[in-house]
Amino acid sequence: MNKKVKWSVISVSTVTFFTFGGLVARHQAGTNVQNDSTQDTNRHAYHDKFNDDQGDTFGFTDGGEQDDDSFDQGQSSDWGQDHFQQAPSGGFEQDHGSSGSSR
Amino acid sequence: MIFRSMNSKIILEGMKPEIQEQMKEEILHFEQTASRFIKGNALDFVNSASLHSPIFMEQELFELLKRSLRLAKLAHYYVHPFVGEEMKNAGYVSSFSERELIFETPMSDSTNERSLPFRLPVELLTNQWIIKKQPFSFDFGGFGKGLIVDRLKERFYKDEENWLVNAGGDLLINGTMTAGIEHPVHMGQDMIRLQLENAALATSGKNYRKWNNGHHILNGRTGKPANNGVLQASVIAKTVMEAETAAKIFCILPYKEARALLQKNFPGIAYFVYFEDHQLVTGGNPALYKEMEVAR
Repeated sequence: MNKKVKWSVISVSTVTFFTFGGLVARHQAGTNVQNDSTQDTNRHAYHDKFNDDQGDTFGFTDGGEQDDDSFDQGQSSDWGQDHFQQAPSGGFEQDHGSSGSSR
Repeated sequence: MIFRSMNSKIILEGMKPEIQEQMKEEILHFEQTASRFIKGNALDFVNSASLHSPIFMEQELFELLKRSLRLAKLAHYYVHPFVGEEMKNAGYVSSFSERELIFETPMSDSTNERSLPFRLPVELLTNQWIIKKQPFSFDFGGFGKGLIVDRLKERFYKDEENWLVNAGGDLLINGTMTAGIEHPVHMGQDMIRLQLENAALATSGKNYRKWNNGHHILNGRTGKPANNGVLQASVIAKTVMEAETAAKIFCILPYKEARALLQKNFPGIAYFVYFEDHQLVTGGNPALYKEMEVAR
């Protein structure tokens, strides 16, 4: 008999806890925007796309990598070797299609 | 057609006069919305808004924010649009066309702290609504200029026409035209000439818009002027926004790191990097240009 009571109390407590927890979580998700399913979906989309660098530590989601400032070399394109040379000491006359530092 | 807007000299060449007028109107309208130097405009409203309250952004501005954030993420936030306060602190408090900069304290560079952690100071709630989570103000700078020029291409592109838009050195070519890259030391002359087809070319440099020991290219991860031995970088890409972002990365990070980051996240570019020791490096995808000619 004692065992039955004990299990009943545990069951009721568990159900109550999860119900209460669920209500709290739902309430928190709805505080910043109106309780509108379209807006909610949109908001999740924005979270996925733009708001993913909000954590305490700085992390990137592209490919699940951490930003440690070390980059993979030569994986994504076939750029080949750079060409180094001494810069010219003069130049051509400019026309309207000239690109310089912001002017 | 030549006029001034967005703190730059704008050149529209090769298109019909009525198209030039429409383009000019769009550029001027965009400037009214997104310039940091126009009090009371849409950007000023957002910049003045308080923390932790939902803020509504005009559609055009919100589009600019979204596109900027996409590129900033690819650039590992070494370039981002949240640098308004840092630009002010660095002495960039008014349009260059309005007055010379006055900045008395020599600025420190970011050589020793180039990679501080970065957290987005903003949350995008839903379409056109954001929340500022930390104090900051937007300075879209090259992102803004890039967006309006890219949009002109999206709107006015015609297969059979050859024309260009030059927004203060940020170049967009429709069709096939000859473009030049200005010599960073012998300004007013081009050190490279090449032919571009439906491409964008942007240049960032530390030889212009500078004051005391500072310049306007800030490391987004430190908020301080970058000092990496690069004097100027030019990048060819599909869009001006991409070209502008990639060129800035070359001016901020040590060359090898910049190249590796860009090769991974911006593979469709070609670049021309001029170092302070007068070395010139060309690389990337050479299929993006034709008939390159380097001055002597």
